[in-house]
Amino acid sequence: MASKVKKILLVDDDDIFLVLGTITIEKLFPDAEIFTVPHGEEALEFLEETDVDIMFLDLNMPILDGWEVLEELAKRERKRMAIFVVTSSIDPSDREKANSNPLVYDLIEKPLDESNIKSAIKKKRASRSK
Amino acid sequence: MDASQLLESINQNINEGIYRSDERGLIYVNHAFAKMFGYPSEEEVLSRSSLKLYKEPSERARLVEKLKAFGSFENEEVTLLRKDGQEFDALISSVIYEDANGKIFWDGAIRDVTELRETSRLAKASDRLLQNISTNINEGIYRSVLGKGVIYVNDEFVRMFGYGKPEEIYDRKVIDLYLNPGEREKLVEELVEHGAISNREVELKRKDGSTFWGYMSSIKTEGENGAIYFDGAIRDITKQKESDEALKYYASMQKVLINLSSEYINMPVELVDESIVSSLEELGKFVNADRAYIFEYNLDSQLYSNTFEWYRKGIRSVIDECQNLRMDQYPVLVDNHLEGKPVFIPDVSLLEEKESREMLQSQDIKSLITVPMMSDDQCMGFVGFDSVRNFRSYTEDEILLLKVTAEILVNIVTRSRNQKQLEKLLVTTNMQNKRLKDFSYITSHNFRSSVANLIGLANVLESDPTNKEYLGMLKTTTSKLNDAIDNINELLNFENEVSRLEPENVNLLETVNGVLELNNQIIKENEIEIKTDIEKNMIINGSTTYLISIFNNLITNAIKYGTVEGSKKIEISAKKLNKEILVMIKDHGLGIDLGRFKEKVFKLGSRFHSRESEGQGMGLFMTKQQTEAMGGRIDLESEINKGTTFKLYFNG
Repeated sequence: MASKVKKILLVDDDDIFLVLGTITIEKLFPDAEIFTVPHGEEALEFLEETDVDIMFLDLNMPILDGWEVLEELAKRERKRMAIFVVTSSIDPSDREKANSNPLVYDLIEKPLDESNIKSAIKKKRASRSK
Repeated sequence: MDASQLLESINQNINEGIYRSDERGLIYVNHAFAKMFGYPSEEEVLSRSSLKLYKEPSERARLVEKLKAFGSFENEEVTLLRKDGQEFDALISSVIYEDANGKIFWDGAIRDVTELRETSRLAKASDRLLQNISTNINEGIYRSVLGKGVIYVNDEFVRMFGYGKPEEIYDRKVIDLYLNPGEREKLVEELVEHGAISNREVELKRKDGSTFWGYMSSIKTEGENGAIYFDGAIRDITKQKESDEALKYYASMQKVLINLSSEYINMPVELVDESIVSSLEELGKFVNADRAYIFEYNLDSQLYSNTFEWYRKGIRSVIDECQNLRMDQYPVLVDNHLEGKPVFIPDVSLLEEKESREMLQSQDIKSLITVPMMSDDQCMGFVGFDSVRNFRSYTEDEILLLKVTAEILVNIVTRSRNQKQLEKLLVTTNMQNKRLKDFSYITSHNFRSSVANLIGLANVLESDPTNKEYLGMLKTTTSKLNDAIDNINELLNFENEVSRLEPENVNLLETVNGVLELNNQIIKENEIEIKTDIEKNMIINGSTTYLISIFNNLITNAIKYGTVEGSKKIEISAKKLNKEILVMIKDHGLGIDLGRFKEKVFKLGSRFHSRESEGQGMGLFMTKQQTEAMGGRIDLESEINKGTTFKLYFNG
């Protein structure tokens, strides 16, 4: 998989998370180009110009939150990408919503580290091969 | 038939006694004569001495002397005697003659007037009786002539119409006696056509112009020369009519009360308020008042307010002027109510206590009545009725019925109040639950993000322990964690306080100035221009702590997000509305796109500015909660690149 991933977008309003997340993702996808934006609106603008292979999307953000980004993307025609919702929310309704959204591969709870990214990707592959 | 035969025939057939007599005695009598004196035949009469025919025998000599002196007399009244000795009154007419020999004789006619006398005596007696009746009965008796007017009235008639003597009435026009002249014309038409009217209710007019209700009967009679008389009687039924009307009045008032009580028994609470007003309308119209209202006392805060009001079309509503009045302000009303007594003021202008008088006069009230609403010996408020157009007095019975009304209303208001409290409690509890749930998610989110960052930072610092950048991030993260803990405290305190929030009177200007003082440093550093326009003695009924928190939030928000280079003005103003005080905090900064974000502005965890990510989405959420906890509301206007205005409405 790693060889196919060329561009990754990280969307979060937390500067520190963006720094730490970038470090983690660089280790997993050393060849990929990593982009960061601080909220949903900038994410959508970015995606207008650039196709990415993976997007890590925070839910709770100013201006436009993660759910609103997903709503907007559902209306757009775009290249297929793997979207992982990343959150520190414990609201069970967030997990239900993520599971039922066809665009979302999986929900990853913060902190974002190598192991939970790997297990999310594995889970997706398993469900797809069924 | 010769002349002497004719004469004899007449003599024998007429009813008068005819006779011829000379000085010695009777020479001739006719049949009627004999019959009149009770003799079986004329012969028997002639055989008797004519002196025996008189009650006083001397009478004969007197009459003969009169004849001799005057030659004749007419209708001399004498008392005569029948054969059986019974007396009778008679009128005698006679003429004296002289025959060829110079001898005198006389002819005469006697009319028995006993019957006539009796009739006239009876007539006199009945006249007197009529007179007596006329004078002594309680009805006004009259005779009037069509086309002429009244020609006779009795004493009662004179009294009834308030005149001094009958002649005053004879000089008047008949229509002056009627309130409505058309009515007299109608009655006359009917009398002429049908001959009689009976027991008509007519409104009549006294000499002084006052009116009364009369019961009138009359018959038409035709007199000589075709004159038409109306004879009639009038009875004054004003009293009867008044008591009839009073009876009707009470009956319908009871109906109003029964409606009132039965209407509410099963009424859903959400409809109660509306129908209290319509009941006030019904009662108000019933007692012919111009306003009907309910005031409720709040014994804890010692304030009272007009909570329901009906007012007549064309009369001014005063409910807005009557909010949060101090209970010690108008003792005339309040003190009596607290003792359970109704207050009736027949003439407001005569009230001695100046403050109450002026307040009532400012509402154009002439008379008013208020009845306390008592619940278990406690006065909850009062029901009242204002008279603005006219003065109004109330009878004991009416006051009693109003008391019953007040009792019914107490039950209704208590029931509705309890139910509303219950509903409010439910809403508050639900809101509190939701708030706590939302809050626990958002705080845990905030905690977990910080903790996640701490874990990540710990990892990177392990491999690069001297990295200054990571150490800076560590510091930021820990202080964010601290903020999250502070927020938990704030919210928990809010939940505790909201349940026992005691409203107090807070000076608005002092509070705002205090908040500005707190932020003095940051205002100076950022060269922000603050302009306040608040009246010195403006009071908000609420909590000082909340108000400080609210203004602090909104002012620091305005400083952080509402100022841009070259536009650093923040305006804080307040004005008094009807029942509320409106406070506006206006900036000229970037503004918020309300088309997109209106729904999210006050939501927990919402943020609008990515420029500085220190916000946790707590500020506006708490501001709204605190404003609403004090019974206020918050709204905002905003335009992108022009600025934002927050509008707060508080209880004044």
